[in-house]
Amino acid sequence: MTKTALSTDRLAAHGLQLRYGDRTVVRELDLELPGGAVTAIVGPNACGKSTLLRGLVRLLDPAAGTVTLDGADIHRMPARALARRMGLLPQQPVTPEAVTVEALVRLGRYPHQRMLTPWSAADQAAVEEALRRTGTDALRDRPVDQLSGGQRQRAWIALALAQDTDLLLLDEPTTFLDLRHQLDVLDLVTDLHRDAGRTVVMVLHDLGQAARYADHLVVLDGGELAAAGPPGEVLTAELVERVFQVPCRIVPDPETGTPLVVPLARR
Amino acid sequence: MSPDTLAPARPGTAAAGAEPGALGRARRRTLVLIAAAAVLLVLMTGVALSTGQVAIALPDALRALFGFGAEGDVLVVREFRAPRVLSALVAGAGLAVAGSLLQRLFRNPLASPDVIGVTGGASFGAVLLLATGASQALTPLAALGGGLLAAALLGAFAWRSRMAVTRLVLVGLAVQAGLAAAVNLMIVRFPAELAGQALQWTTGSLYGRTWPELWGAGGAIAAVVAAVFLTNRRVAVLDLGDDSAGGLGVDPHRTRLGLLLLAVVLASLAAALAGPVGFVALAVPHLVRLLAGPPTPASLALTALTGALLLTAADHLVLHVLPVHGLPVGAVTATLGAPWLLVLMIRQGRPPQRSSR
Amino acid sequence: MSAAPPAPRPAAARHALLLAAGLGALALCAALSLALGSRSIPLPTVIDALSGTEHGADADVVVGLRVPRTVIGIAVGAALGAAGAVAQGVTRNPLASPTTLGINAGAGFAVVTAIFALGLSHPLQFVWFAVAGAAGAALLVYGMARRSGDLDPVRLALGGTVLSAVLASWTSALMLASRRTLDEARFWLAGSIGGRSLDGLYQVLPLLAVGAVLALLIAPALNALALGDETAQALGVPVARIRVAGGLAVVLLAAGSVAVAGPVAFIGLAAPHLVRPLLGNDHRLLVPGCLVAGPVLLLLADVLGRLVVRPSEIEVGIVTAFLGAPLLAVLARKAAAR
Repeated sequence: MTKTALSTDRLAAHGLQLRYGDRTVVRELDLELPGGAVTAIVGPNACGKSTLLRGLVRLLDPAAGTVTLDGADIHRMPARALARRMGLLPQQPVTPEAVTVEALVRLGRYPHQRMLTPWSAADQAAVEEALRRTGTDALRDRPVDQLSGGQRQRAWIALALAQDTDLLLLDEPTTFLDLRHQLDVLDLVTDLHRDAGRTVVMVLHDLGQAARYADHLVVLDGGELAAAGPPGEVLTAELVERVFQVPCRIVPDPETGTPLVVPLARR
Repeated sequence: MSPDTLAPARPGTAAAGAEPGALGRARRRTLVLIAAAAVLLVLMTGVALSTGQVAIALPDALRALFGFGAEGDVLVVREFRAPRVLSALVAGAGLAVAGSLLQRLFRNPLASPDVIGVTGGASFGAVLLLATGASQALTPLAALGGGLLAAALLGAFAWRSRMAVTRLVLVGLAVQAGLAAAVNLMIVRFPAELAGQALQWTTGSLYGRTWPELWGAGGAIAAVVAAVFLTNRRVAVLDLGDDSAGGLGVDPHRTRLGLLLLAVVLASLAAALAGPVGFVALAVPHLVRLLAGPPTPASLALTALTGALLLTAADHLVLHVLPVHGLPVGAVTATLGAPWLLVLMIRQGRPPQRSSR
Repeated sequence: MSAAPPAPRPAAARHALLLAAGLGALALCAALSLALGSRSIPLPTVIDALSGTEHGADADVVVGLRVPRTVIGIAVGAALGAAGAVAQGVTRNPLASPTTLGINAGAGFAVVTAIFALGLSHPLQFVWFAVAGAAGAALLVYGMARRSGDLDPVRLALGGTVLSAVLASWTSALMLASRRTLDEARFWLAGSIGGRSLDGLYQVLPLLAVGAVLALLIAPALNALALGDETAQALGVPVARIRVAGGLAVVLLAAGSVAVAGPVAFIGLAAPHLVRPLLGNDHRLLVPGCLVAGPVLLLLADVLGRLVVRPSEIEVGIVTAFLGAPLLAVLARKAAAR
């Protein structure tokens, strides 16, 4: 429905610096992610995409700078309150042994529960909705560790959906999936945005997919912001050559008209 | 049954709701196992309380435990038998829950109080007390202190790494090795008499338990076990890996430290009552996993009951059934539990391991 | 069969230098072991005693006590070091050591049973009981971990730990049942190379030699194994057979050493971790490196045990555990920094 940026659910970084030990991965980053839109973070390997995502959801404490959600510093918010607003699909989640799909998805309700509150109708409704949306309804009794890659990824997305947050952050949700399952996941994610007005931020590898599915593109290079904006404006041949060191032409996607990167023939 | 055993079972069953599908089926199976274990535990407690120089009928023994029935029965059961039997029960439950928690936290099927140094620490405390020649009544306190000392060492070494799992395991093994070496040194240097006593304690012994010890350590164990049940959801979230847990609003480092402290306190308290019977903590969680599947609150209750049953039965065998006198309860526990575990392991074909990463 | 590419020349020179330095350190430790103890003997006197030109009390101590002790220390240390390197390579687990396979517990139980039932009292009489116990325990653990001709590393570790726990508790039970057993066994169980005669070492020398050769032979294949079973298979390495051969090497080496010195912890665990930062992960260097590092560690610990409570001494098994603890903690710091 709405593709215009809402005034809420704005995630922003101000002078953000992220480090692993002595290694600075993201330096002095100023960034604003529009609310109510799909943002894709792209960049070459080891440019700090995943690190930035970890910083945005508070998995990594900044060495300097802040991350704000609607103007409030996320490091000053209670962890559970933040988890009710922001959900995360990590790159390599640990699948507990022999846990069924439904049991896994139910864990998504954790931030909404208090220590002694029993499982409520609202909880169950959220779980059912998440299972239905991801098409994992029929798999609910299957152990997650016995599912195929695509099914497993959908189960994990269902967990993040059951968390029922306005903001959803996904770290390379399409890795290890074949083309059809990649598209399934991306369609699902954009549906979430379109039907429910959620804000989606995802790290992607494929520039064509990023341009096709995202409203807003963030290009990182060496831990610094190389460009940000609508894909049609940002994705230029010069930028791709500068950031990825790949000479290319940009042509309109014959299906959607979004920019498509075509590397130049090397010989 | 004593109030201590009821406490662990309650939160697990109360959380059950009307659930569809496999979740419900698995839970029903676990509930049946829990009921069976609870009945067996009551019977075992009754048998243990009724056996001795004065034979008492099983129902009378159970009634006498709560102060009803013939005066003589009440005296024998409450003054002479109950402290020891109930100590075994409470310590067994505590050790099993501690082991289960540690194996989940470390994502390692070999984790037990040995790995975090509690066994070495408790032994160190108790044996050091023997060396100083102080009153033996202080042994439980010394063991508790030793266990907590090990935990403090572990925390001091591992804190800077933000409780990363690999580091915790390595440091835990180091603390255990150092403290165990100290115990070994004392045993080698002791005169034979004292060496025997030290060895007896470190192999596990329920000899000479008193009501005040039982109330103190048992009450604390019940409280910690209850806390473990209350944090079960948190542990389940932590099972999803540090990133997912963080995304769900659980600080993995602080949570892991808190849970580790619970496990340490639990294992130290149990060691104070029964000596460091490490085998219960190692084996019972595996047994329960093989019988009832992956951890849930219900299977945690089953773990507590099975641990209590194993240690109570082993101590009963030591006291009344086996022809040889003075066998350490730790030896009997291991002998009882090992074949069962090994047969289950071999039959299973796949190792009882956790998938990680 | 060699999976890793041959090391470039400059590295080879560095490795030769390091190996020479290691051998130098070993010679130094051996000299210290000959000279120091409840009474210190100056090195010139030691040399004279060795060459037979010096006679008297000091020479008797050197030739009669310290030479056997040092030789045993070198053999046992080398065996344990190599066993540790192979055990860690076979299981791909940096925490594996001969102890993980239940070898020490098996030897301990067999020896204590022999003391209890047969009334033995001299370490020399224990040798073959220890070997039998160690081998029996290891076979049992392998039997539990076998899976269609291959060994499952996780079940190997779990089975070894469970069996160790059971055997250790039975050992304690036997010691508690008889005062005499307790008195004899507690010293042997602490692990010591003092007061042992070379005859014990000669008896198990074939085991140690075969084990060491086997360890060196499979070292190249362990490199391939480190890449995972499937990759190793693709490289043409017979994974299952290598794991069994490696297991055999560990059992021979560890059973031989526990028979001579009693259970000595940590050398097998620590030696590979000390060598790895110097020589890297190449097992073709790691195994020989551990053959040198093991004895250095063991002799150092033994000398230390003789010095701290002079004129008495602390068993080397206890000293290694004390020294190994901080080492593990440091190791943990590195693991966390990664």
